[in-house]
Amino acid sequence: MTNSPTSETPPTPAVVFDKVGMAYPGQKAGSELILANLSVTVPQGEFFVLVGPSGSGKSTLLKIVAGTEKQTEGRVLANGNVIDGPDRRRGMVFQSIEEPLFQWLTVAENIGFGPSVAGKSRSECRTIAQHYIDLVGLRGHEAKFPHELSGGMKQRVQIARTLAAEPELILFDEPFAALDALTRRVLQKELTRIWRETGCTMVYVTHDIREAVLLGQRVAVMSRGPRANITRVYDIDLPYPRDDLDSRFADAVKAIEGDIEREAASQWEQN
Amino acid sequence: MGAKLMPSYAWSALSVATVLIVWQIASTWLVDPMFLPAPMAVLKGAGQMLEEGTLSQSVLVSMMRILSGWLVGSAIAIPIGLAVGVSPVARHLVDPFIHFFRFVPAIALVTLFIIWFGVGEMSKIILIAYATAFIVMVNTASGVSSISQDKLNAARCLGANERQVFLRVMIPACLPSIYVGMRLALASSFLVIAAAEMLAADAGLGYIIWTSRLYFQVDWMFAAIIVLGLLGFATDRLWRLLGRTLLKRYLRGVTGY
Ligand SMILES: Nc1ncnc2c1ncn2[C@@H]1O[C@H](COP(=O)(O)OP(=O)(O)OP(=O)(O)O)[C@@H](O)[C@H]1O
Ligand SMILES: [Mg+2]
Repeated sequence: MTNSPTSETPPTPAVVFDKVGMAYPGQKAGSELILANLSVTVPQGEFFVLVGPSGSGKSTLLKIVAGTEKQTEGRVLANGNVIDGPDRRRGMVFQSIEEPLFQWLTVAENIGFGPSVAGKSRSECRTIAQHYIDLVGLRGHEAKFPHELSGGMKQRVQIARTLAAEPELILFDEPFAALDALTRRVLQKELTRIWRETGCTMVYVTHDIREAVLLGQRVAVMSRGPRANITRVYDIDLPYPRDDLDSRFADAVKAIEGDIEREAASQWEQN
Repeated sequence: MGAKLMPSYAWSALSVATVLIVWQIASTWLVDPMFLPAPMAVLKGAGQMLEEGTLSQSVLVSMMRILSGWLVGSAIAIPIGLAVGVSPVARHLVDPFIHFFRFVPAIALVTLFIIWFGVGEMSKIILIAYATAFIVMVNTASGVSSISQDKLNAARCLGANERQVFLRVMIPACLPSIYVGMRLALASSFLVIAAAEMLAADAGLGYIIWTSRLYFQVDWMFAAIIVLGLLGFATDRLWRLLGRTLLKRYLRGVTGY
């Protein structure tokens, strides 16, 4: 739908960053911005991946979209509206595996949290939760508490819980970074399937360039901070599900890696 | 290690029995029983007091004071602790008082409270409430402020408003701290009651301990001390049982010991 060539006004992008600058309130006055003059547009329904060095401000960018932090310069729009605080329509899957889950609620209750705070009845919450439990493959674990789950299962709960709130956009902050390689692979596959089934816009942060190329329609590379910015955006024109043995896959990874190395080297010379 | 040898409670029974035997031996052959009455003598003293009705009445009176003071203190402390944990303004308003009074022991205030609130129940309940409140307050506030931002933000991103975040995330997430605070406060209530009843009371376990001195009834004194310890032990176990059953899902990990 988002790609239909209409002569009318183009659809409102999911996210627009317009010359955004960011300094945290706690920072010393006059110290350098973390993000500076950053502009980027994410169209509706896109799987957008952001890679970049540690400390550059990737999480900060996600928090601004989530509404838990506010940029200090420029404008950020979600669906054409200025972002004012967190909203059910912009879900977030956190890197932390333990903290975001409600440890006193069962898997089903965690996943039903969104519908429940939206005022849905207990039985409706259960039905919705069950749908997403099935979607992420947690059937049979409904009544378990988070401490009874493996790391990968906990991240599935987070994903299902975010989906159950029916967001239009989901932000992922290195959600699989703390998992073992095998679990990570399985979850990456499932995530592309979920993306195609739900049609949500995805903004996904990772350190892992292979993961970026495996998941993203576009991969944006961020420069080292302070005053971090998006230096380049790559179109990954490969069909899903992607095969990392494909030579075009390897080419894409190599191109981005080379770019990041050059970026790092130029930083090195400056210092 | 040794877990296979006999059930775990048997180890406790064994150690208690050993102490009782050593005690019996010591007071029979080593120490003047005037100062250290034998366990059997203490039991007899307790029996005497039970017959007269003083023991059961004292238990009731002391427990009433402890439980009401503890509940009143907690009821005042929890909302304040939550407010302090949530709002920086509340925190700055209340902090100086919390961190001042927390170091003024209840026992130092016994006489003052008797002057203010009289020798009746009131002064004792307020004293226990005082001893309880600061412990519970500090635990509650630190519980709230140690909730991870990710947990709160997760709730917000799922559509919870601030009221829902407070009721459905903050409170459940800091229940373990409140629970542990109340458990510590319960123990200190038992410490305080003994002191309070020694100064001004006509009943209670502390009163027995204090007045037995006058009649040189060291066996009564021992009986009251042991009953006080047993009551504390029993209430603590009940509190732990509550944590392990009704509140289990909230308190996993803090009811282990
Ligand atoms: N709450 C905060 N207050 C002040 N400075 C912060 C805060 N959070 C992050 N920063 C600073 O902002 C910069 C960017 O942090 P951010 O967490 O966004 O980086 P990141 O790209 O996500 O890094 P990583 O890949 O390691 O997760 C860092 O220099 C960090 O020290
Ligand atoms: Mg980060």
